Amino acid sequence: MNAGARRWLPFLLLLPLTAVLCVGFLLPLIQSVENSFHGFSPRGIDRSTWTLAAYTKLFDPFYAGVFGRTLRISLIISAITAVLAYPVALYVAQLRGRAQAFLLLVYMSPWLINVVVKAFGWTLLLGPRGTINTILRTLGLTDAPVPLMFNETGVIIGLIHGHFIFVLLPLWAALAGIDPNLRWAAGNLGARPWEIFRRVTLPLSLPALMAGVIINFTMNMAAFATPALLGGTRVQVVSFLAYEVNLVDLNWPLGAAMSMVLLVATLVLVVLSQRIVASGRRRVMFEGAR
Amino acid sequence: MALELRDLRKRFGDVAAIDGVALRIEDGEFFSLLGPSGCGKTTILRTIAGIVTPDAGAVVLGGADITRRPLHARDVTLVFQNYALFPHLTVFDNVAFGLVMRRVARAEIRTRVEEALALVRLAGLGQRYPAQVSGGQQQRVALARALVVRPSVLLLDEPLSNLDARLRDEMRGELREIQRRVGITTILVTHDIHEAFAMSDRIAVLDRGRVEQIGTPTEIYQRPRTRFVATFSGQMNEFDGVVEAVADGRASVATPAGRRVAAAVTDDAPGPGARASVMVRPERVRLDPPADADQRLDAIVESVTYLGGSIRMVARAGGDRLLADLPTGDAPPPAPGARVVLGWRTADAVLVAAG
Ligand SMILES: Nc1ncnc2c1ncn2[C@@H]1O[C@H](COP(=O)(O)OP(=O)(O)OP(=O)(O)O)[C@@H](O)[C@H]1O
Ligand SMILES: [Mg+2]
Repeated sequence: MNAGARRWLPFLLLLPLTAVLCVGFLLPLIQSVENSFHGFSPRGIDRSTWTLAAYTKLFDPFYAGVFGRTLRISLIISAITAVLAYPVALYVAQLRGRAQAFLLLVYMSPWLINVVVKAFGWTLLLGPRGTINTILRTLGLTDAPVPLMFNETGVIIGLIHGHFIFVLLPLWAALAGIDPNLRWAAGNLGARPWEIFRRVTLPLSLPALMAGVIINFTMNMAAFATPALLGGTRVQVVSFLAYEVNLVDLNWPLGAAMSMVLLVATLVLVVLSQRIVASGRRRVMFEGAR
Repeated sequence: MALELRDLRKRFGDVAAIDGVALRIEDGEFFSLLGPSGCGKTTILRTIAGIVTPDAGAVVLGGADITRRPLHARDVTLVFQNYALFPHLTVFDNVAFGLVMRRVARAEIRTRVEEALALVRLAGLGQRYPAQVSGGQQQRVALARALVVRPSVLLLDEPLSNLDARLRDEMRGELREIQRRVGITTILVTHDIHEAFAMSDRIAVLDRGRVEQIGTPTEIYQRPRTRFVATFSGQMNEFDGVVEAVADGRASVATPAGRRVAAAVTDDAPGPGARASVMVRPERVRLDPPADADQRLDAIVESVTYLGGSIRMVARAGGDRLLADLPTGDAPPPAPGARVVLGWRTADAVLVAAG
C-alpha cells in the first residue's frame, strides 16, 4: 500500500457511516434548529417568519414545570441508581467469571422485556390493590393504600428498574478491570480497606460511573412509556409533551424548541459531570495537585 | 530487621506453591530468592507482605509473629513484579502514598518524597503521571514509593525483569548501592542467576516450593549441594555413577563405562553405594593440565567456539562429552579432531546425589 492510500483509507472507511449520520442525524438536527425559530399558525409551520416565540412559550409555567419535573425526576433516578449500582458492581466484579456472567444476565433481563409489559408488571406490585399494599395492609402497617403509582414515585421506581443496567455495566467493566495489584499495593503501603476504596478503587472507577450516569440520565430524560403508564396524566414529562406538541398539535416550531432545550440541558450536565470527575480525581491527591 | 520464615506452606489446588520453606534473613542483609518460573518466589513474597495467607508456618519479623497481621499493618513494603503504580496519581503522589497513610505531617511528606525521588534519580519528574515516564523510571518510582516509608524489610519481585539489558545492569548497581546506603533488609526475587550473584549477600535457591540450598553466591556456584542447584546456577560437566569410597574429604565415583572420578566432599555427602554424580564447571577444566590438576582424561576435540573472553571447547572422552571454557591465549586453540589432555583439581569437583 502506498503512503497516499494509507492516508486516505481511514477516511474512506468512515465515509458510509458519516454519510448516514449526515443524512439521518445532522440534517434533521439543523432542520430542527431552523424550525425552532420559525413562526406557527394553525395551518402549520410558517417558514416565512423568524421569531423567538417558541422559546418564550417554554417559559410558560406549564412548559417550564414539565421541564423542571423531567429534569428533577431524571436526576433523582440517576442518583439513586448510582448509589444502588455501585455496591452491586463491586460485588459482581469480585466474583468468578461464570457467576459474573450469570448475575449480569440477571440484571440485564429487565432490558430484554418490553417496556409496556414491565410497566404492567409494576402495576401488579405497586397498585392500590397490588402486592406491596396488600402486604402492608395485612401486617397492619397502613389503613389506606400507600400511593405508589400514578405519581412521581411510580415513575422513579419503574425507571430505576428499567435503566439500572446502564450504570451497572460500565461500572462493573471498570471495577473488574482494575489490576488487583493496585489494591494490594495500597494495602501494602498502609491503606486500610476504606482508604483503598477511597483513594484507589473509587477514583479509578469514577469515569465509568459518570459515563453510566450520563447514559442513564439521558435515557431517563427521553423515557416515554414508563412515565406514561406509571405516572399517569398527572406526571407529565417532556417526552410525552413533545409527542403531543409534534404529532397531535403539529406545532413543529415549539417541538423543535423543546428538543433544543433538552439537548442543551443534557450537554451542560455532561460537561458538568466531567468537571466532577476531574475534581474528584484531584481530591485523592496530596501534594502533587497544584 | 531480621526476618524469619518457619516451615511456611501454601497450596493452590493441587499445586504446593510453598512446600515447607524455612529461612532466616539477617538485619541489613541483601537476600535473594532464586528459582525457575513457578517455583513459588512471588507467593513467598506475598506471604511476607500479607497478601497471601499461608496454610501453615509462620512469618516472624524482628521476633514478632506477623503471620496473621493484616496487610496494612505490616512494616514491609513490596515492589511489585509489574510495579503496580497508581495510574491516577502523579509520581509525587505515588511516592507520598505510604506517608499519607502513616499520617506524616505535610511538610515532612514534601521533603521526604523529594529526597526519595532524588535517591532514585527522579528529581523533577514528580508532576508526571506513571504513563508519562519510561519503564526504567517507573521501576524507580516503585522503588522510591517502597523505600520512602523506611520499612523494616524491602521486598523486590523481579524489579528489573522488564528492562533492557543495559538499563538492567545499571539498575542492579544502583539498587545495590541504594540498599547499602539505606542499610535496609532486602529480599530480591529473581530467576536470573547473574542478577542474584551480582547483588546478594546470600541466596536461597528454590525448586517447586522448596529450598534447595542457602548460601553465598560463591557457595552456590562453587559448592552446589544438589543436582538442581548445580545445573540451575550454570553449566556443568556431569559424571553419573555409584560412590565407591569416601575418605579424607574425597569421594570417588565409578561410572558405568568404568571411569573413576573424584570430588571433594563434606560430611553430609552421599555414602558408598549411593548413586551420585561428580560435577565440574567448564571453566575449571584445563587444557594440558598442570601438576595440581589430578583428574585427567584423554579426549578428542569436537568443536571450538571463540567467545571473545574465553574459548568454549567441546570434547569427547570415551562415552563422556566434556565442556571446557579455556582462557584465550596467544597460541591458537587445538583444532577439531586433535587429541588433547583435559584435567581439573579434585577440589574443584563436587559430588551431588543422583536426582
Ligand atoms: N492465586 C493463585 N491461584 C492458583 N495458583 C497460583 C496462584 N498464585 C500462584 N499459583 C501457582 O503457584 C505456583 C507458584 O507461583 P508463583 O507466582 O509464586 O511463582 P514464581 O516463582 O513467582 O514464578 P515467576 O518467576 O513466573 O514469577 C505456580 O504453579 C502458580 O501457578
Ligand atoms: Mg513471580
